[in-house]
Amino acid sequence: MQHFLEYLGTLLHLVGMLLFVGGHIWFGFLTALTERRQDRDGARFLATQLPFMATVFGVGVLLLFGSGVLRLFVWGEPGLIFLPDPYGWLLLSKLVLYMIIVVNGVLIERRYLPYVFQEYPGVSGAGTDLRLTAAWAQVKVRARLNLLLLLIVVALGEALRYSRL
Amino acid sequence: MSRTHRHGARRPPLLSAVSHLLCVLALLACSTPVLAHHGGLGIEGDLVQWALKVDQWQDESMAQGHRVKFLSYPRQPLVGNRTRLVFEIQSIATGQYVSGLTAQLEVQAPDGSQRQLPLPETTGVTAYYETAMVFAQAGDHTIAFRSLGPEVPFSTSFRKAVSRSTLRGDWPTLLGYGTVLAAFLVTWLGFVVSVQGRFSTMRAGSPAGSADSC
Repeated sequence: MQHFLEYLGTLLHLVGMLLFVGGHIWFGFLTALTERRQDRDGARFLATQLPFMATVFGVGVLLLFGSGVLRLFVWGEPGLIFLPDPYGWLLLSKLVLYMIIVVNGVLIERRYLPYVFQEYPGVSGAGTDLRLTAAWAQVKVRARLNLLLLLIVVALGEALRYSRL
Repeated sequence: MSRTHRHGARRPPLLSAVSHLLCVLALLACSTPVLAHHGGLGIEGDLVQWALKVDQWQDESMAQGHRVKFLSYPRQPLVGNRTRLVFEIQSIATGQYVSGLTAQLEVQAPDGSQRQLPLPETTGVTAYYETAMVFAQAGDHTIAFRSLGPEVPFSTSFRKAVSRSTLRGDWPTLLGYGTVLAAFLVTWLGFVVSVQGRFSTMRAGSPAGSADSC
């Protein structure tokens, strides 16, 4: 049973990484592409997909955290994160960065996501057009910050493999 | 001059890698549990902890030309629970493991009371000396290793904190629990806020400005 939970935790952690880290990489890549090509339609398309992406990222976060904690419980070390060994300090750093990432994600979702579009009167006078606002720039900046932090977390995760307890 | 390439006889790299992996897994599955090795203490039947190396030496001390390594299992001893105390002795000059010592353990409790235990060498494992004891008090214990042999008597001591429960440990333990709890709270808060946001109505207008930033 312990082995099954261990492997399940690893599998779910990988799926969470695919959704969350992979999603951020693709989002960062595509937004950079729209900026370079001055592609307003592309940027608008990305902005319309933000709620869906937020859902996917949210599922990824839950999978990552849930599977991580599951493995910690399976290993059953007092204190859970193996402090004061180097492994524990690396894990502590990961968790602190994880918390910053989640808070940043919540800020993106609550503070900027609802305001990415603003309605303007249509050019023809009939109906309205949706235009991207400054909130879109904030979403991009904060998503890139999250991507940077995520890559550090991934690097710390790799360092965990080689750290001596 | 022709050269013969036996492509058909060679396995593709992927197949080869998979077969090697399967062999290793089979070996791991069939292997006999090992009690001790020179990296620390093997925990029988627990491949996960073995792989995690939670069984590594926790402390080390030098005494009269000897390197004395120490670990306890579990890492954080609990009052009333059996704890294994393991030592490994190595000569600093030659690097060789030192076996055949007559060793004794002296455990001093926080209240000053002392207890002496024989420390026999583990059969079949060179230079491993192990005993098990049940701690009666919480707090810092001094664990002294003494070699009583006629050749070079030496002694060294280690400190080990004993807890009443896994929830009331030393500061690393509390910091670990606190961090995991904080991460859980942040995750829960994020989840709640996110779900709330889904049900709230889209608000018009932008406080962040209206310039097209694309």
